[in-house]
Amino acid sequence: MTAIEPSGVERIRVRRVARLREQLLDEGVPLPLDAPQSQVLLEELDYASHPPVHEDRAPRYGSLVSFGARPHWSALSVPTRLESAGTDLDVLRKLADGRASFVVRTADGTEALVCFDRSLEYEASAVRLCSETGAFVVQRTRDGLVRACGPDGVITWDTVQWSFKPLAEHHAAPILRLASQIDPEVLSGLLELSVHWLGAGRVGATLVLSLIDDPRALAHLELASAIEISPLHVTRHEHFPALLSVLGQMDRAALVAPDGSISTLGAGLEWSERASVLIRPTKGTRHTSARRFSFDEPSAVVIVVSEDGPTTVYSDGAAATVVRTDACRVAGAGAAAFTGPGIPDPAGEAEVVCPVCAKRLLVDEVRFDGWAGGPDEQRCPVCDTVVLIDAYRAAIRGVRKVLPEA
Amino acid sequence: MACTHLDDLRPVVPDSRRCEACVAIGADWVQLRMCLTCGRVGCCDASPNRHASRHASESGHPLVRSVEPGDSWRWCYLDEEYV
Repeated sequence: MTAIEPSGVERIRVRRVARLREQLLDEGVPLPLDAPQSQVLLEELDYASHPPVHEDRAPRYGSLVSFGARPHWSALSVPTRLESAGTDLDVLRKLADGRASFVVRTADGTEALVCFDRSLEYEASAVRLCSETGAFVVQRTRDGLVRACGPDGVITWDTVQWSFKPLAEHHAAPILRLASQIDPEVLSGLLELSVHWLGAGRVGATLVLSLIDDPRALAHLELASAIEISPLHVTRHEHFPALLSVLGQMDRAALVAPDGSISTLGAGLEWSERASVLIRPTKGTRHTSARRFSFDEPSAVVIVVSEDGPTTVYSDGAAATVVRTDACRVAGAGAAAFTGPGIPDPAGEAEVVCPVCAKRLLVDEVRFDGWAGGPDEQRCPVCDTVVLIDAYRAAIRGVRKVLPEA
Repeated sequence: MACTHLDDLRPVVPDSRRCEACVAIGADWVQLRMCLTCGRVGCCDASPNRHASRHASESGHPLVRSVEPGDSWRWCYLDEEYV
């Protein structure tokens, strides 16, 4: 076999990066491919996809790509400095294991190494590193997956297709719109734990966020086999590994107080006969019980993490949001995300009451004077009843949470 | 440069709740836009057939608005800006 000249290797690499760019565009992968520094990001994705194989083993790899002069290290809890600046990039890449050592590439042409004193191997750590430094975190994992965490979400290449999962924090706003009583910091921590720790680790779990001070006082709980622990908090990242561990070994629900503390595990969820009648079984036992419980308990929100990854938030008997990984070409994630400026129209918000389940439904609508096409038909997200909305077009966003009077 | 096409607008009513051009060929759409000159409803540029922008280029009608529930933004195809 004839060896390929170094210049030939470089030509192949350049063509491969160009093809990668076309593929990402075709599949609507939400990356800033038109930004001036996108070439560096493409090169890193390409290297992570095609690392040099040594003794039949493809190594792990990791890099931080900053579109600014350098990543923002100041938010990191561990002092961080660049090493090996001036070293050839091919050598730097061999030093970067994607767990605790990463190549750093910046807009001003810096190529260096950064070393941490802990592993940042998993999705949760990479998301946090991205959030704190503002850099894209590109990794090739032990399983050969290529993952890029950016400001919009987590992009994954599994050797078959590109997939996209939005960041958990992007799902807080629609929930708070329905349930403004929730502490935003607690919700943010709860979503991060659910989406980037439990869901990413394929750990199924149910978490009940109480909006009354003592979650054990919620009416539809069965606590006979529940256990008490010293409080762990969803607002404290150092508690997440312990929560991941214990939730992976217990069935039933963990109770979260309004301040984000968890001190009760293994609580059973119960519901009324009316909830059974109005809410049909959905997606399996864990989801059905969570949804029916949330119907009867307006003072709670229930987060269900499925073992196959998605996280669903139930409030008042309906899903308030679902966070999941979708294949880009199926979901059109990139295209759908950029269909308009996304400025909400306060004049287009209304409330209607479902005539059957009596929940107050939050509706976004568009009205036109002179529209003669009749009301829009929508289905109640709780009981599936057809609801007529006097508008040109309408979309029911969920149930507006109203706490019972004390 | 500020778009000047808004000056000639008159109130219009949408001609449908669907993209009728997509319905005719059995296609799906992502979101709907309405022509602010004649009320024609068509699918957005993230949809496979982009009937709203096709209508704009064929008719010369420059402005659309989103008719997605909760949206009220407008777009000028000629000036390529939100107005």
